[in-house]
Amino acid sequence: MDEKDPRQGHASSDIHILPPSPYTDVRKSSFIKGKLPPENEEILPKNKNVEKPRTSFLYDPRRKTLLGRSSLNWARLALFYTIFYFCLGMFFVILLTAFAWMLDREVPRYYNRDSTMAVRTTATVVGMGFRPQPEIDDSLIRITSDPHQQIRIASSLRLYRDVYLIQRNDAKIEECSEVEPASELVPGTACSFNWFHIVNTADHPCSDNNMYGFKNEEPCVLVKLNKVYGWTPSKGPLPPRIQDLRNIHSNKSVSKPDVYITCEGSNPADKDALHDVKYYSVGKPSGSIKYGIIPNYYFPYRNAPDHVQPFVLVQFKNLPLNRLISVTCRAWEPGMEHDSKAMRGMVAFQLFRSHLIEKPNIDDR
Amino acid sequence: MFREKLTTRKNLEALKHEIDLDEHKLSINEVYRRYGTSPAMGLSEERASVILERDGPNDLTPIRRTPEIVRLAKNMFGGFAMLLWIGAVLCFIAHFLELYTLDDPQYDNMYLGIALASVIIITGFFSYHQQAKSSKIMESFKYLVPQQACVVRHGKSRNINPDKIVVGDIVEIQRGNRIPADIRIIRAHGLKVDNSSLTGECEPQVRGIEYTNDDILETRNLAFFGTFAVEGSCIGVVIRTGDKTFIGRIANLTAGIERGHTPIAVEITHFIRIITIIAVVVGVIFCICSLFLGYTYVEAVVFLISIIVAQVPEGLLATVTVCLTLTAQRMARKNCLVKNLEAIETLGSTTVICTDKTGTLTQNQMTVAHMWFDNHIIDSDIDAFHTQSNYIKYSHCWSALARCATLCNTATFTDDPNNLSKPVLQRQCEGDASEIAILKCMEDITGNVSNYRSINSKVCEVQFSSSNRYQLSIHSTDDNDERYLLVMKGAPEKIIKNCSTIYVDGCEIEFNQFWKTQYETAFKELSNHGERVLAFADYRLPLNKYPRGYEFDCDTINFHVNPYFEHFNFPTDGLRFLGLISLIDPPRVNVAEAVQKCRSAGIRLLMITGDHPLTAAAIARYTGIITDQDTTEQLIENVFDNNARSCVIHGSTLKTMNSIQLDNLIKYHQEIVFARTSPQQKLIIVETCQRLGEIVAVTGDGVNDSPALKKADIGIAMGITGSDVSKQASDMILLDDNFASIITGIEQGRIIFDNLKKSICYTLSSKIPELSPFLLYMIFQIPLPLGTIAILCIDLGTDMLPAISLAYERAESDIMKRPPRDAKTEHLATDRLISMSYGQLGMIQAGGGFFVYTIVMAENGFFPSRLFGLRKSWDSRSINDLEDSYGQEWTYEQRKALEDTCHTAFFVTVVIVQWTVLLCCKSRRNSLFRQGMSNHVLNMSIIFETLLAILISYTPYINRGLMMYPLKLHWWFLPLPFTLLVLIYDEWRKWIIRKYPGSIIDQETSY
Repeated sequence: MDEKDPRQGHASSDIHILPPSPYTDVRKSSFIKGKLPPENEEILPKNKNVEKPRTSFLYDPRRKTLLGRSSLNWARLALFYTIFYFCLGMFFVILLTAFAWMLDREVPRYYNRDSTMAVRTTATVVGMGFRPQPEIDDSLIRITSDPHQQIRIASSLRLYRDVYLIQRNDAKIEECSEVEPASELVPGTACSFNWFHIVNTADHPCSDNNMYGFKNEEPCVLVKLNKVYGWTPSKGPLPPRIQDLRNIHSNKSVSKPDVYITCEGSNPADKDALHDVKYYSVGKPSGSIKYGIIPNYYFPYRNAPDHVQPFVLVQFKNLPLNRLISVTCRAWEPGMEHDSKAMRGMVAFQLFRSHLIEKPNIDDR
Repeated sequence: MFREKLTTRKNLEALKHEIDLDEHKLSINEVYRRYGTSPAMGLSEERASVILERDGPNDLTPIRRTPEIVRLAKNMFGGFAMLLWIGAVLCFIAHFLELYTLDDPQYDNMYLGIALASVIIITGFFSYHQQAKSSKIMESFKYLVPQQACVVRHGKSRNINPDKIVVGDIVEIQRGNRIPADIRIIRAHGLKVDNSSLTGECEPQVRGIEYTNDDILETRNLAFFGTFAVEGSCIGVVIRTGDKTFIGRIANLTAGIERGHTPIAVEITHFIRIITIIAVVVGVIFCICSLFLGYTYVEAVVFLISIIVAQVPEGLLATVTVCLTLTAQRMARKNCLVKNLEAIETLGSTTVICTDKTGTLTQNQMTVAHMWFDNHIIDSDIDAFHTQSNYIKYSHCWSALARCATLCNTATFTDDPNNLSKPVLQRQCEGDASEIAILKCMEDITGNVSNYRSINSKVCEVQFSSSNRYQLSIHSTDDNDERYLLVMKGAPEKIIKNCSTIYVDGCEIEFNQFWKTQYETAFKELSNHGERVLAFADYRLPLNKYPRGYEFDCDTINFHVNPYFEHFNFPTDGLRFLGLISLIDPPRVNVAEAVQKCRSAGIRLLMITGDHPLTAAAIARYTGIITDQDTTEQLIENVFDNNARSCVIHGSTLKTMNSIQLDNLIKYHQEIVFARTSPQQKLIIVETCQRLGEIVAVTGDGVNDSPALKKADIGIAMGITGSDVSKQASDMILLDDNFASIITGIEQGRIIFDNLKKSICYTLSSKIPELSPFLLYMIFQIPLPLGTIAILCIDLGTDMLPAISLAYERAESDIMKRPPRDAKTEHLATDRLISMSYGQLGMIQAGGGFFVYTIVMAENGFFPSRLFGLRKSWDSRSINDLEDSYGQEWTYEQRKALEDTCHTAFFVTVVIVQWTVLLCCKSRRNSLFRQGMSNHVLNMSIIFETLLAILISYTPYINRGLMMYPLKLHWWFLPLPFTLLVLIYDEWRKWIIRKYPGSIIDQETSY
């Protein structure tokens, strides 16, 4: 029985049927998936073709594709990215140039307390440095009787001196004194201070002739405060330690304190071994056994081209043989903070004196 | 794996040799002999316990539940998690390498390893928790009413637990009981069983003692475990128990089927492969570079590992899990319960839905569909009635038919005021399904059936039975006619024989050849719609022969003993033919719409049903599954015509087909209805579809559907009517049993696939700004611009919520109007997505990061020219006076503080550039202005990530813990040029894609 019949053939009869569903008439081929392939097509071989070798996604020799792309495709991709990265690079460079144009080359944008140098504190953190330091990841100073070793270690200090501690004749410098401190200098000029202010004679214990003391196995170690733009020692009473050393006990606030440098063994045992220390500073080039002094008028540092950071030479005499000594040097001024973990206001290095020609094994310190 | 497959094969084979059951063919005495039992005595208690010992309890072996710990482990070590584990292990290896070779080891790698491990563990527990939650809902479905079974032992009938039943037991089954085992029926009184869970036929099946069919499901003398006796009672001998029962076999087969990976799992594997290849290639290239740059082997290996690990998207696992969970929750609100998170997406990529008919497409409730009287076919739809109400009101024929239909009906509404106050269609009823349908129809049209029945009291009745196939009753009427009225209803061919006149337009005329032809036409018309047709007739018994008070003898006793012997003291022929009423299990209201939506979404619908081809085809037409107007006979012939669009195939035809024929059948016909299919045929159909590369969703409720449900890529069970076995086997449950809910599922599945893509694009875009600092640190020896902890802050902190918020993004276009994704070519992560995310968005971000890094460094004193080659001094603890471009000297601590400040600035830059990257990822083609900003979760996430960055940078202790530093205010504005660049570039790119589809930009950048 055909469904169409009653509607057409029997139109005269009274039978009429509502369409079974409103949708059946409407849609005939709203979605036909693909074309109908020819009949009796074998499926199995087709399936085999689909199974590609596993490496074909890397390189398909048949279609000549590398990672699924033909050479033309790769070229197009390369072209796209060349243009893209060129534009991105230009954008980056333009922004950076604009920024560089705005940046002051003489004065840092942030310094002193504003800069990250302050770490998480509100006070400026000033560190210290020492020389010679022949290896950048080691703070050991080796003192030997071997001349070659002596030359090697001394040359580290000499190099540093030649680069940083010499002021040429045409340098823009002026004499500084308590009356004319560095803070009142014209920008661009530096205080007159260099190596020879301390090592003022050729037979100074730390002179070149003595190979900075290394020749006599009584090494001079250069100890200095870090250059920090705009930093000056802060006003206040001198630290008790310095008051003891100076034998002047007074808690009176000093308005322009000098910076005192002391060195001692890091541990009690090292302190005992390190009994003969001499400080050569600018005020006392002949040496002091209590402390070194860096006068207040050398501060602040203002990025002058010919600036030489004031320093103190510390000579260690009568070092025991074959014994590693840890030395800690501290800078003292009223506001100075000391933190041995973060090396705030101090520096640490090791001394090792030996007479053995062979390199002693001291790595497991 | 192989072994499992083998057992599945074996099971499948076992099911294919469908039956080793011949008890229905044997004579009943042979059955007794076989099981050593007798109908009167039953088994002895001792023998029963021996058999119980041998066969085990009459219970289905519960589906082997995966132990909790294994499920947890699966969540911890599956797919993506494995990638992260490898990353974590590599981290620890790198850490120990550093620890033993370097003087000053960094703990970054260890932190990274710990972070990775925590991410996996937390996400693992999270998804395990999600699974446990949905399986808890599953538990609540398990209502196992402890029923007693009545058995005869030692000649005495007693109630025992059904699990104690053994083969050979004689069981007595009453109306409403569950059949406790597979039984051969010895004696039956009007027994009807509901086999719907086995075959999907919604009509109760008549069962008796006759052997009527070779097929065990068709033959009348067998009843099966798990089905219900809806009417009548019987006594039977148990022939199979427990796992050997029909249902038990299917349940075991189901348990044996191993399902392949879900499409999303395949996609994730594919994604992992791409990421791994890129990571390893980049790692090896830079490892070789580092060797050329003079690093030691150990350093090079540490670099290699660091580079590989740096490319592991730590946050993505959590993002994907949360996105899927959110969608699952959204779907649960729309009555789709998802058992397996990964299954959500499967529905979105489904290409074929194999749907069951009964209960899914239809309401599983017989309803009056059409009536034929006065030579008209009238739709019984209530609306139709109202439009024709005048016509009906004055039709004598209608009132006679309505009277007959009302009176000759034993169904009643359950007598409960609560029930009676409900709308007619929702009322609980008692009685046969078709009688209920007629009752409801009459109540709806004429109203107050019970009152009408009481004033036209019944004098005598003959109940419907399968043998006489009619039903009659005699009433005294209230229309002032003294004569008794005989009303009769039944199978048309039976009724027609008893009629001599026909009632047309108020006239009783001879039922001649013309009217018989008219009747034939109408009958064929209706039955072609798959409707079950009942004929109605009445007869006024002459007052002189049958006066008031006449004792009608229906010969009930005799009738029950021998149904073929009819002996009444009143005539049952010469009746007046009134008309036909046809019944159907109608499709659910919105199914046709849903089917239409499926079709426009490019999804093929195949109907697989155990029902009769005619009925199946009719429903398929109603719902639009078949749009071909040809007759069903034509459709059945279409099976062998590859050019036909639609076809209907009978299970027996299907049985004769080999796999190539089956492939062709499914390939060349768009619309197929499989009728009279057995469970294993359903399975084969699903397998065939899968072999053709389709992603198959199967809906079903019956036990017979479970193997197919399990085998399908996504099995969808019915929450209300579904059997436990089918729910166990499925991935998703429609709580309202409504096929239309599937549409929601498909929509959500497709959205989530698109959105996951966006999410991945977003998450990966921050990988380049995270990786490039390390590469530049290595090659140009600059201080490290971005540290490990900052990377973790991005991946597991600020990037998480925005990436998740993309799951809430609305669809870009009408996703239900495009075909499902092609699983072979359309991947979650394509090379273009990676190229776009890494090569373009990532590079712009990295550019922004380095720009800000340079400025922070320069403003603190280190010009770019100073930075190059500085690494070794920078990282040396022994150097406490490193000079910058202004001559200032920095201690190690100060340098590291500056480095960490740079990390913070770089991190903030990534966050700020990610603002617009997120906006760009909102759409793949549409302009942002068209896509809109209505995704408030996403808007909030932008604010959130910024607040989080502020919190990380400025909160004391937190910033110290995360090695971050407070930034100067103006550093926050430095990334803005790059933020804008991303937006402008991407809008331009999308504009090109829309304007010039197929252009180089489209081909290289649309993902």
